[in-house]
Amino acid sequence: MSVHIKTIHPMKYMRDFLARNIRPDGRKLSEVRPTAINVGSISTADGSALVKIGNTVVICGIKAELTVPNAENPNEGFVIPNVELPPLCSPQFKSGPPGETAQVSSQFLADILVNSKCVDLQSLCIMPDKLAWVLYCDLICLDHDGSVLDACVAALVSALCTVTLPEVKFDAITKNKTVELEKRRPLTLTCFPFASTFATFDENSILADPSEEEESLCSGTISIVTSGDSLYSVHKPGGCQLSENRLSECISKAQKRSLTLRGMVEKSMESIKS
Amino acid sequence: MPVDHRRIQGPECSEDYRKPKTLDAALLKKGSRRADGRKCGEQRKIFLKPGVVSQAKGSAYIELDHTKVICSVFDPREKASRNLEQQTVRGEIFCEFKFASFSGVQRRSHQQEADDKEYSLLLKNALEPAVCLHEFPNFQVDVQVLVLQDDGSSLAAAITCAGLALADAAVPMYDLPVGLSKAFSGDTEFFDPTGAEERMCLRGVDGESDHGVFTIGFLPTFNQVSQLFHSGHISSDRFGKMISEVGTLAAEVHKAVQAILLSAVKSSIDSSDNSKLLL
Amino acid sequence: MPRPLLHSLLSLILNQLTRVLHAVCSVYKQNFLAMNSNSSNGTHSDDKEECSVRPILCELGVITRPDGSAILTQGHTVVMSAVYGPSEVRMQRLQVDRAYVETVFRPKAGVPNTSDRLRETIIRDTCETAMIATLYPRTTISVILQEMEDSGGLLACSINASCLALMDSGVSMKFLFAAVTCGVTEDDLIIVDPDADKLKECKASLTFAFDSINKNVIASYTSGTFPVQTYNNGLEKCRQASDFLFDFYRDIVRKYASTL
Repeated sequence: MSVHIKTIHPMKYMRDFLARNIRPDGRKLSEVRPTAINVGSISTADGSALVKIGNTVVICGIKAELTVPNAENPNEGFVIPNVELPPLCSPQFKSGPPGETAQVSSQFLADILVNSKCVDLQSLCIMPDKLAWVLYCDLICLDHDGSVLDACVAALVSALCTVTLPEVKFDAITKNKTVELEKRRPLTLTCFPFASTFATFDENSILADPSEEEESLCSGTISIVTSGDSLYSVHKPGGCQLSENRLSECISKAQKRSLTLRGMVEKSMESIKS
Repeated sequence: MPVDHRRIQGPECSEDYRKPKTLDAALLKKGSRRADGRKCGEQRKIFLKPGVVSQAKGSAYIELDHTKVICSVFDPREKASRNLEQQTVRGEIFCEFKFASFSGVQRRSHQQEADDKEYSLLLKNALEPAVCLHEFPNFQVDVQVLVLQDDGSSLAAAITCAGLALADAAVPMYDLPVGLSKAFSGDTEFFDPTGAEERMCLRGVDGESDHGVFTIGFLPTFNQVSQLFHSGHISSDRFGKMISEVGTLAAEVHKAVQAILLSAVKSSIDSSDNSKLLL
Repeated sequence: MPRPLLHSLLSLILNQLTRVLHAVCSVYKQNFLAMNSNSSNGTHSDDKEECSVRPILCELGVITRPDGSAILTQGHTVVMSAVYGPSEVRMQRLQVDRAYVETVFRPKAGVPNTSDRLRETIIRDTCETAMIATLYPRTTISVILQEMEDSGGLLACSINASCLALMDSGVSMKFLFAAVTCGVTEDDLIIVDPDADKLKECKASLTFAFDSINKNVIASYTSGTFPVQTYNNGLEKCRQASDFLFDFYRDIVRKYASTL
């Protein structure tokens, strides 16, 4: 019976659930889905991570390459994040160049890297104005079931944790570079930003970690990126109006979640070390 | 190169820090075991799982040691034919095969590359004979394949994976297609080759006339070949022999895939039984 | 008509349109900047109080072809906006219960890139929240924005310009909306509506869009790192500053209502 109401009148279906403070999948309003982080599974990449939040799966592979630094910032390297939402992950996406959602997600990740300065770009420079690392971080969504931004940020940060770069010696005169593949040093992150997405159904029902179905029925989402104390982004592109109290509630929930996620990344990092 | 405004742009040019791989003739030591400890006719352990993508109608994931491939299949949809002449009585399998940018030793571009297109077509050819295309005239079934990591035999893995994904999506089929590949150089034959073995056999070692790699799409129930893709050089007699050898091995893989599918169907029936009890 | 032809035709029209917009706008911009230097508005003076905003100037209906249009200057940031619709919708975009709202943001020079896309989605979602899209099912409403000059607070200015153009077009709205940007200095002080020079010294900037009824937050976009307390302070200051904009909207409507 409930299946029929869902197809005929999805909004009423949702509202009836929310009126009883429960969601269609049995979660409480502020309950997040089970999350799993697996790092270093792609051995061809210099750093990789797979993040699963409920059904949503995002994989991030990082390839390091050598390049010449920008003339404007001669002692900085590059971190280039790109999100792909291939037709594989959901029938709503078409093949071809990245669509609007993918472009916005890529820009969002690039903004977070700039805002949080979690990778010290100067540490990626080998010789000022001559040689620097560029980290191509490619994120591919394998299953698109809501809160993809959360999974993307978590995958990016945990993949960055696993990056190791070989030592490079550069001779400025002969322009010879010698790469010592055996001597690899890990990349150190200055902070660990994590995103938490909330969907706003109306002013009073705010759903943490919404699924695809909930996202499509809700009037808008809000994504908060934080490492626990500092905020790196409070991104709310329109949608239902929120009062300040509601916003603060979301922020404090996001702060708590970022600490949990950080613990998970640390745990999975330990598991590959041992 | 034109600037791609739809992606975050990196520096104009960058290069790989690894030196180009030299071909390793040591892989060819006769009689001994292969680099990963396998015998020549032994294949890697297969990990295969259906139903991994929740948003797709059917999906599967396959892992052959370091080769990792994921595939999803979607509901049939009408073909974009503009006029009557373009409409067909048979359905179509539309395949899109893509290597992830971080799947290989060298970084790949985001755009579809030549081998992506080639493999898409090969995969389509391998799958179509196995599917009852007359059941959905003028409709197409989208099969999306992504190689997360490539360490040889990725096309063969994709065929097996896509076959299971199609079955998981309940697309009517005559048989479960199975993909296998073999590399050879001189007298040495590698079943289910790794990336290094593939590269070496494609180039061939000096003085050896026979070398190459072939991938075969097999329908074991009917003992039929749906697709054969070979590059290299070999005498036709030996080739025929090799194919029949592969055929016997295909039957083993087929049995394993069938068992996986069976247990998946059983568990889905069990869970639906439980939900019926609840209602 | 075959689809590729239709697409090329559409893009041609769009290109022509932005070119015309550009030409018209540059003339208006000159006039505005001239007027701007003469204006001596008490509350909007250059040596600002804590919560005041830069001088605002606006003209509605500046271009004739769209259903609604506006040019807005806030300080030296200038944005031109146009609204088309409700008009015919492309088949793929058709929604049976509501209008499809699309936003095109054209930068001052060059091809739109991913950061313009991000801006577009914020503007679109904000507009969509304010307008009653369910009144226009099976149609499309396009909001087109052309950046003329960016000297700080471009996103806020674009959101405000889109609101003014929507008002001019007569599309039904639940409420008006206004956006304000504030900068956060190194010692966590808030500067409301900073210009480009002041923004450079800031470690973070926060942009908020408010509705005209309860002054609740519709949209929030931030850059840089900042503590939670600063975020809340900035939000409060911006909310106060949004009153200037809502007052300004009222003045504009009064002015244009009498000329009609």
